[in-house]
Amino acid sequence: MDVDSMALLAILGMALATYAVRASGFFLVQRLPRSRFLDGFLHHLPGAMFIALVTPPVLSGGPPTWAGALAVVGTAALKIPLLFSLLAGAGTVALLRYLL
Amino acid sequence: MSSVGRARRAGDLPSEVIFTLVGFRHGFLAALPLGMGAATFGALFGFLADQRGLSALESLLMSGLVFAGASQLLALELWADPPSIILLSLGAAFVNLRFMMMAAALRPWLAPLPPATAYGSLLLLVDMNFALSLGEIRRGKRDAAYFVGAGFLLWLIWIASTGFGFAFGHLLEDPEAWGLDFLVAACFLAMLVPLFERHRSIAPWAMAAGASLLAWHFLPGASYLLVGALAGATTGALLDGRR
Repeated sequence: MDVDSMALLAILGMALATYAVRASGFFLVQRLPRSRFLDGFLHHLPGAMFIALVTPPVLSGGPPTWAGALAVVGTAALKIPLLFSLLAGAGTVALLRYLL
Repeated sequence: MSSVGRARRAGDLPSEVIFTLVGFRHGFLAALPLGMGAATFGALFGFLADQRGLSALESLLMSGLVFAGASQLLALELWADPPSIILLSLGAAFVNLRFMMMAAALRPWLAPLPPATAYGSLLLLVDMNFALSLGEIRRGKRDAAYFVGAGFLLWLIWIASTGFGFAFGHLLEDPEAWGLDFLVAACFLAMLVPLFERHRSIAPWAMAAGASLLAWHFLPGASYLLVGALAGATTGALLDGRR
């Protein structure tokens, strides 16, 4: 349980840089002039971000992750509790990896 | 923990945002199912940190202070003895640039709060409490402490699972056989469903998917996330403007 001083400085640098990113988005958006484009951009941002986050890894994962993604989206659309969607997805992936 | 602020500007801001212990507890409990995905990721980080030669305390400090999985995994890739402070800090900022856009999107809850509360809350901003809170905002909920409650639970789980992975990671031979590597993507797939709008989402989401795939193949690292997000959101904003 020891901490190297250079490692500690590197961790603190990462923490500061990450917080600066977290805080600056809010700082900037309060000072930018409001516009229809900015409102639309911020409205569409979360969905676009999640799509961009999941599409490459899910598609490159082959049939198990394709089926797992369908299982998650299908169960989530039924409005059952999130936990079951996640279990259905991981279970589908595990099953197909075992079978294929 | 109760403070009330009024929105300073008209528009999409709720007229009155509150910040209460009840909201904190709601967020804390709502994040429990997502904790499973966070715990898997955190345990993976702890396991890999052990492999890369970080001490237990260094791993726990990084999880507690940085609290951002992708950048922590990148740091392990770039870790050296001694580690490069500048390289690791810049790398973390770049990988975590998406937090900038998330913080901007949380404006309806953050802007009416006292600045110290808003900037303090942002210490706990991660993907999952952002997604949960965005859903609450769209449903017209006004208690911004929900965001902090969800973030606080995820932070606790993140540290605990880092320690767990560090101590026991070598015991689980093959997490992929159990589909555990899929849990993080599964969290975001599930949260996409309520965001879908039949008349507004299809073109931006297709653009986001296409751009992210192109960047995944041709650009380094995690840039596919930013490229896809920017392409999709820009498409959506332009199409909305033409309506």
